[in-house]
Amino acid sequence: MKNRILFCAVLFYASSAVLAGDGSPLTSRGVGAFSSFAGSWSAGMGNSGLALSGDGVLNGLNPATWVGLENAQFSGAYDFSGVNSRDNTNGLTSYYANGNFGGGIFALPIGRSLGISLAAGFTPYTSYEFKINTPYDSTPGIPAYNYGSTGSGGLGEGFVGFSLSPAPGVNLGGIFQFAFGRTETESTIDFTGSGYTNSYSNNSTYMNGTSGTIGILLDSLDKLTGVSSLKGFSIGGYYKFPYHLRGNAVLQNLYEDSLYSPSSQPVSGYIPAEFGIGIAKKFSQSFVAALDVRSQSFSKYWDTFTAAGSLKDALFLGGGIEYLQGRQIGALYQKRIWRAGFYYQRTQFVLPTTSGANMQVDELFATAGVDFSMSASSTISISAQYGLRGLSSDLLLREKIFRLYFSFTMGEGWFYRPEGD
Amino acid sequence: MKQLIKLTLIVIALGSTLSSCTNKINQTGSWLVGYDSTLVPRVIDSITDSMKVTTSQYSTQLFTGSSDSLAVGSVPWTESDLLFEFYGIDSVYYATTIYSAKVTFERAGYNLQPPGYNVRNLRFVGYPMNSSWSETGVSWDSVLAKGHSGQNVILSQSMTDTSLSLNIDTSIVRQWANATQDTSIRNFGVILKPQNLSGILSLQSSVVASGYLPKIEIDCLVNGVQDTLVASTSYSATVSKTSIQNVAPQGPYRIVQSGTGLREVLMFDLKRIPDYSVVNNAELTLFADPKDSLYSGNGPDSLFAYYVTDPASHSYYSGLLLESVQVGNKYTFSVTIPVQKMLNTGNYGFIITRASEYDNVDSRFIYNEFAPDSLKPKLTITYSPVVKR
Repeated sequence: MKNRILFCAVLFYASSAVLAGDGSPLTSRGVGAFSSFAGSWSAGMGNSGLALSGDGVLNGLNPATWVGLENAQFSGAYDFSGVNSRDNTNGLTSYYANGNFGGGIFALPIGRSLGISLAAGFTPYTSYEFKINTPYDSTPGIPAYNYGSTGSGGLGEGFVGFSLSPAPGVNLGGIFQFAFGRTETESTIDFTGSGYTNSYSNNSTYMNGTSGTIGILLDSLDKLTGVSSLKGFSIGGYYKFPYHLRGNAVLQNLYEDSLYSPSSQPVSGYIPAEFGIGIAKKFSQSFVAALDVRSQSFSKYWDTFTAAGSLKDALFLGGGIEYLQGRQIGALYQKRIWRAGFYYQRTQFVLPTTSGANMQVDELFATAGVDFSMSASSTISISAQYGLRGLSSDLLLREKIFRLYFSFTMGEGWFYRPEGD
Repeated sequence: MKQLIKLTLIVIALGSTLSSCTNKINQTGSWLVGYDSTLVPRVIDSITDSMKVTTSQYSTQLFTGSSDSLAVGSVPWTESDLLFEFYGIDSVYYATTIYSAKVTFERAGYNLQPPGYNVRNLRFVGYPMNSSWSETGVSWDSVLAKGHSGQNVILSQSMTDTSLSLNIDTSIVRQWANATQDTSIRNFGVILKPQNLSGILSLQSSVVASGYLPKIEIDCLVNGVQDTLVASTSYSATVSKTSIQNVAPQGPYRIVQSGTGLREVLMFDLKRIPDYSVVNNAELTLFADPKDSLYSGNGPDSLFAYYVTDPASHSYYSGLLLESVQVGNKYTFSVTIPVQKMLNTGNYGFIITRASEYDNVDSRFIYNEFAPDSLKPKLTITYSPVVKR
């Protein structure tokens, strides 16, 4: 147990030592880039898993999958992201990397016969993270200057939820979510030795709101439908209600020698509903495959500073496989879970092309991951993703992105009466 | 277990190293958060289309910067009158005959003489005032309201390089002398007015060193003896009215005039600059017409720009001296801070003054909004518009 505590301490220290975020200037749109992924294990199999359940699997998207929990569990995650951007407007490429705390979930099965589990936690919801510094040559009337823009923050999401299984093979779940957080943009213009006054501006926007998610998981489809060919199939889905955000925005400018707040105003926003559906097939005790489709009508997104229609509807398609190695091996630590997958996403972002037209940005990622057992109910999960954002060569900005996730899941057999009592 | 912990630590170290060591500041995609989105310098030239004149009264008390200088005379746009009242003449009451009376002012040396004008040609009339006045607070309008007799008491005048002497009607001097003993008779002094357009003459006032004080010399017979009584205790003040005729808004000029308190306000339309912008640089450029300009050589031949803080009183912030740089007839001012203040707290315009308003009556004629485009006042602003996110 001491080792686990030490491990967690190291994990959280490392998380706090680096900044959070995606790193792409695209995250400056709205409240940032949304991160609707189920967990580090899911990242290894193409961010899929809406129809998967089981011990060691804490799916933050679909609460109905919690019915499979055998032990009280805590899962903490750490994310690393490296973005290599190519700007077709100037031919420059650059690399931006950062890491962040990927959230923590605590789940507690309290009635296994009815699949009743409770869970609570905190996960990042949006990432507003970029750092840009571009030199501009002197132009008529304006001396040379460096333009800098740094975005930080985003929304986090705290939640509490439950799952239950009212009938064999029918599992339901619900989550109450509270999103809150601050996006902050620091913009600077630095003139070097020209006698011009530098610009500094800080825009800080805080918003919060509530939402909810309902989920369903139908496993043992063969028994539910009476169709034997559906043996091993499960299907799951979720619907996340819209967020109505409220908050406040403060603008601060640096005028000569004092920071001045010329503007402070209430703000609001709307994050559209999100839904997804997934299927999974358990081919054997060791081999599982999953496929998810998710959608969110971001064209309805708006906030005080972002007009509706600025973003486009997003569509996600991802799938993966999972293989349990060493199932028959006696030594616990020799067991491995290997995962692989892919996902394609038509993101909500829009970029101009070389022809001047606007095009919705899509991305394609290959994923892989592995879980190591640390005990009968505790695992460490490491996943990696590599892909391209901006598949069309016409886009003015294309990004190669590498992501690394790892999470630690601890399980304990709480509330179980010891045998013999 | 130890191996797993080692592996975990290696992964954390790798991630942290990647993010801390290989991270480079991004130079790509700046257009997503740059132009037309957040901070961008831009230049706006010649915001002169709505420049306004806000010194609508064109009436001001002559201002010489301190009470030790007076000004009297007239130029095409300004008339300055001098008020004086001698009160140290009690002994004259006992004079049986007053032969003559001469008032002498020492010249201060600063004169406003447009080309073709010479203060030596000034001619004056003096009218006894009808009611009392004070050195502080007197103005053109208040003097006008008090009124004067309309009867000239100046018999003759003479001017040297150092002084102005006025021979006064003895009857008014007798009245003043009687007033020292008889309260029913009042001495309210004389208002000295110019009769012609020959410039403005500066004179020493009643508070300067004793050798330069205005004085009255009264030649009279006292106790059978002819004597000259001299008194140098007096009140004095100057009031003036400036009537702009060949400057804005009728003409192509705006005047920057020392010694008269005449201060016009230059106002530029800043509405086109977005709210909350940060001003990186602002330069005000004025062009002067050398014709009719005056420079006495006293003090630098430059101008100051101030920003107005109160539109009602035209008071301005004097804590920031913005002195012009002059090249030929072109005056430029670095006005970054004032323009930022105008954007933040209200745009009430600039007041332009001579660098020294106290020791001279120099003037500059600045081309205004009615001048050709190349000569109009120009405010060039480089600013960074800010959007709220």
